[in-house]
Amino acid sequence: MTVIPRQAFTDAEKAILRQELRGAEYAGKTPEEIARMLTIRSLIPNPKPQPQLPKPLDKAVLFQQLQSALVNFSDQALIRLSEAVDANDHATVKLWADLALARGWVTQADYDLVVAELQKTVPDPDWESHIPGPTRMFELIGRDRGISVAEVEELMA
Amino acid sequence: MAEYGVANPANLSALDTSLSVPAGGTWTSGNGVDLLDATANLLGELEVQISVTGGATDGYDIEVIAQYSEDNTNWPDDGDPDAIVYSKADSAGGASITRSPTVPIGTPTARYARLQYKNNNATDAVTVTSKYTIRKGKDST
Repeated sequence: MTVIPRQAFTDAEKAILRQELRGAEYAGKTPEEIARMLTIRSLIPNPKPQPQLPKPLDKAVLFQQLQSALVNFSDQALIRLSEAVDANDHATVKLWADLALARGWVTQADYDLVVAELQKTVPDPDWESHIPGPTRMFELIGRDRGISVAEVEELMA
Repeated sequence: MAEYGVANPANLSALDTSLSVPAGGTWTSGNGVDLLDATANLLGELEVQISVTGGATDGYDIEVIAQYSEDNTNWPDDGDPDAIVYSKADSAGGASITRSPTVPIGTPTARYARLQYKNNNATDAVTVTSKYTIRKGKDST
């Protein structure tokens, strides 16, 4: 039973890595520290701007704006509207507002307030200002690859 | 250095030593093992033990699989497992070592075996050392 070395770096990759390891940042580092330096990913500024998402619906605000219409809604319609708000379903709430306007249950001004509320956006709370960048290994040879202490020692020899 | 997990038995041979596995979920291939005992014409069954160090800031999250091949230069695609060897998330991290039990890989389906490692931590590298032993064999004919 013998161990067969994994695929080695190409000669071109070795040349690039040898050049890299002459850099001052590697001076005095142990091979294990160098292996780690080549395979960690530093955080970099997120190149994508923070997206804007539809603002979550606020039942109190919407029901205030639709107050004059709500007295005309059946109990079933009120339940459905309430469920749509709870589900953050902007399209359905807009349909109910359109209905209320068409039937004259809300003023144009109140309808416009509802539409404006539905069109509000907020910054995506899940967006991260910094994201992991490439490993130094990837920057150097164009692919991520693990590196062992023995391989670092060979490159430094 | 703190050590967690099981003891480090002396009867295991080195397979992959101090291999730094990149952050970000890319599969890293380890060395291969020739399972054929030519004298007895038997394929050995591999058992491995994985030791992990790293994940300095927030612990580590690593997966290890085994692959078999009849050609030690032509392995299955990265991440295509013949056996799941080890999976550990949110372990101690830092400078501590976590050592797995000795894991039997099972009946070999080809002459050569290797491990592949995937480090799911987004930023931190982890260092793995694996050791192996051959427990028993079967007739390869």
